[in-house]
Amino acid sequence: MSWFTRLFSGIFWRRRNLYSDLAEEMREHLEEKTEQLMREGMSREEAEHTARRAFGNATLVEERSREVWQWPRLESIWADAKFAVRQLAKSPAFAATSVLTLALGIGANTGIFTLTHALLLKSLPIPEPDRLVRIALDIDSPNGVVSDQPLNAFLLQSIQRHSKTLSGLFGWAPYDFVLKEDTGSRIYSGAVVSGNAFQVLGLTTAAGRLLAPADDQRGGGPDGWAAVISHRFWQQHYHSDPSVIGKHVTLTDHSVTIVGVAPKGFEGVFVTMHPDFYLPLEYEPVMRGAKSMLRQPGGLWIMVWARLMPGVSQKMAAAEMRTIYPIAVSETLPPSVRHLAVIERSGFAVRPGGKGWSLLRPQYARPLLLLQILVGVVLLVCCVNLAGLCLARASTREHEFAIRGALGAARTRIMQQLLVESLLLALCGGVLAILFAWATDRYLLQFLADREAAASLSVRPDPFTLLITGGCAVLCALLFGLAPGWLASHISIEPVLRRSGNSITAGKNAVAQRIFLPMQVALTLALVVVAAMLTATVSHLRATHLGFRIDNTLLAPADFERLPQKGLDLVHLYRRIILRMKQLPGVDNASVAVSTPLHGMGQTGVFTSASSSKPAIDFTNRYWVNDVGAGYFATLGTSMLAGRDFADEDSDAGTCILNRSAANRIFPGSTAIGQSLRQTNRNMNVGKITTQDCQVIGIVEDAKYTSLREPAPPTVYLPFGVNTNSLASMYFVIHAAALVEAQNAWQKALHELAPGSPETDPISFAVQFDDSIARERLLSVLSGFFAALALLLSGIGIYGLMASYVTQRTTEIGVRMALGATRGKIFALVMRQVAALLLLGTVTGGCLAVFAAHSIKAFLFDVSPGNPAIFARAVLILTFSGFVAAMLPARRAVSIDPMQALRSE
Amino acid sequence: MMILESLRRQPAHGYALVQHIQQRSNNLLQVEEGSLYPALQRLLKAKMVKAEWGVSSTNRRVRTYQITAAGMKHLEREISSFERMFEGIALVLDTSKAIS
Repeated sequence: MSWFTRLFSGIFWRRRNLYSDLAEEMREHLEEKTEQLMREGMSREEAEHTARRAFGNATLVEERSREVWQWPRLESIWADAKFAVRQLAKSPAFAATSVLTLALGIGANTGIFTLTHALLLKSLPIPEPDRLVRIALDIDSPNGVVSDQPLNAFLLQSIQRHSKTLSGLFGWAPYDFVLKEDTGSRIYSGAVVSGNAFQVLGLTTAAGRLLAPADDQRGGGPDGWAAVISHRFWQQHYHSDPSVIGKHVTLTDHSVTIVGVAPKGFEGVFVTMHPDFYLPLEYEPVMRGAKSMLRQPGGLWIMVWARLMPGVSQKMAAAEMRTIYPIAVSETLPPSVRHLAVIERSGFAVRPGGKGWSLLRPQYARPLLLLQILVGVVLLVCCVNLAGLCLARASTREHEFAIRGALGAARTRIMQQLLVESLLLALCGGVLAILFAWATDRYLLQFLADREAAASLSVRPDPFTLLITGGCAVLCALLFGLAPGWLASHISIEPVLRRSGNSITAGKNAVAQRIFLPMQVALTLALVVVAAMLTATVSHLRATHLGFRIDNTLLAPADFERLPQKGLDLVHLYRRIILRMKQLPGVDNASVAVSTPLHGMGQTGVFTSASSSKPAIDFTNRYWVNDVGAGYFATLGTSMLAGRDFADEDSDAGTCILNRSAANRIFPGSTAIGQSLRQTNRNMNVGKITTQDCQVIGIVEDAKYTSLREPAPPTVYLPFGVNTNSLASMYFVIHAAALVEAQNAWQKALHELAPGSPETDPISFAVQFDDSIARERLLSVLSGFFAALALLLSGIGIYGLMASYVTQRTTEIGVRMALGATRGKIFALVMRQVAALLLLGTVTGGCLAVFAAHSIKAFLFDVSPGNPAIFARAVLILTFSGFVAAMLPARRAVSIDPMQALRSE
Repeated sequence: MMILESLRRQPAHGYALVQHIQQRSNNLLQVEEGSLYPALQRLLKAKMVKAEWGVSSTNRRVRTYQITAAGMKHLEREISSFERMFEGIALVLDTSKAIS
């Protein structure tokens, strides 16, 4: 025996002695009292009674006396827990069902919460995140308010000059860098930031130094172009080698000096990105040359963060920004642009910045909230279901409780016992739930349209989410353990003990169960309706007329920025690559375009009929513009309605193709082909207006570009050429017999004709299509899963209730049968019960569902929240599953042998 | 405190203690006799009393409790604070009398 066990057995031995002493002492006390009372003339029996009465509840006294020696409560809970384990081991089916139910319920909550936390709630790892704010531009355009837009360097400096409420202001623009090493070139994510960004954030370096304002100068700072690398990159790429400080590397064609390493765990201020390189803002013109945005007052590309001065509230800063906005506009924009309505109506907004920012946030905040509510409801269904199960169990165990009560257990003690049991179940469920959540979150992340974001979102369960899971489990335990606990502790002891067979509290329990079941049915119905509507939304979105086909089409982004070919040479290179790809096996068509449908990004331009005398107005004459190569429409399967396609020759210049809605809007009532179209350009940087005319040579079918929810935008297609805005980074569109062939063709052609360009990851059009409805798919799949879960739970609930109903009514059913009731009648009797409960649940649930459907209206597409077909189907599903669940107990009722049922009474 | 006070006079076992307290309080304190035991256990744990098995005058195996030095000290402290409180109350009552 080790000293440890000896010590423990020592303690317990002493305890046991103490306890037996106590028991003996109390026994002696009672006897002495009895003897004395007998001396006073009472009979022995009478004296014993009186003595006991005078003494009080002996068990309770003994328990209380023992508690003095115990860590109060803890030991009784420990004993309860041990007892609970034994009890649960005796009914493994019940234990397994409850633990599994809870694991699914809590797991769903943990899973969604982990996502919510990672995306919406987590603070940046910086000191005093509450005082960090984000300053964004809210643009009030005729198409609606576009909020959270970035600023530019001029606006940033202007705010810096005038603000008295902000103690530090820095700009941040995500930027991808190409790191050129001996082993080849690779693209790394990064950011260009103001020199003071790290100071304002309050970060300290892990090695070397962080960027300083001196680094952010034209031509570079004391160390040349200073670069800070991420801690992760330092570890993975340089194996945490401190000598990397001072090393020169080639980053996007220029030599930069690594001056330091950002602190561990810092992933920038954009939540879903993980930058590996941080360079000063002034590096941007070095990389982008003529296309640089840094000295353009009209562009919007820098997100601005700031620290509030001590004692300044966000409201005060917002008020100040309202006064600064007009000053900043007049300081930075040319006079001809300043007074445009859209600029005058816009303004700076101050938003909390301590949690960073993500483009995914506005997209996913509401869906995640909806999911959080849905999983909350699922958890509620779980609890209601378990409460029902536990009640049924409590009524079979009432004998046990009555005996404990008779032996002197306090009510709270019995309740504690049951609560400990529920807690034990809930905690087991919680542990399983964490595993479940961890496994499913990886799957869930695939639904995020942004692949980089999905990779960088950390969804490992961290202490905070574990705490939430624990809280969830305890809450569940209270929710489903309280009712049975209360009932069990309020058993009237005597009648229960007197009757050995049938249950007394069954009546009380049945009432409680009968409340629980419709509740469960109602919640389930609401979930099913919501899921059905969200699923219908996805199928409607998929079925919309797109104006293009999505199968076997590959989208390959070109990255020709660093090729020697520029201008016309680059145009010819594109044409050569397209020609080469078309020769390769499997490829039936290929082309090139600036923007591809449903990518989420695109360009617009102002167009009018050249013969029209009306002046071009922004917004009303704004159309989508896409620069495309010949064969683009054929590759995507967009049909040509009239006229001809581009020819991929230099003679294309000066021609254009319209889609049907653009043709109808620009040239109403006349044939567009052959007419002249005028493009009006307003340069926001200098305020100069230029125009350019082109001839319409063809009309094509409408195609959806922005989103599946919106009608296809009127679009002007221009031939790609030297004037194309982002000529070096267009998309190849390849249609082949199979995706693999398309991919092979793209790689082969690229290696042959543009060997120096970095390799990019092509994606299939089908994936881009799915990404564009990622939110809807996420909602539909998850709500469907949750609804199925709730249906299953309701089924279990109905089965359990009806099974106990049949058991309790065995005698009655026997009598009825003996009196000549047919099997059909008995079957109907049981089914009537189910029908009544289902009816009640359905009516309540129907109201709940109408309310729920109306509150998710914003998520729906082409589905009316009052859609009767969906409601009818949901009710049908629920009723069907309810009756199926009741079938087994009903069959048992039918097969009752009246003779046996009566004899057992 | 009452238990300690009773035990200071003479060591006693549980039953005797109950009888003693009830007599001393002229049967004014009608508590359940059992409630004595948790209190005794608390005192035992705090080492203010010690217990020994013995044989009583009625020839019964009894567990006799005896006050310890620590118990004495505690009792004195308690009494003095109790007395101070009484004094305080008496003073207040006196002044109120003087005022009226």
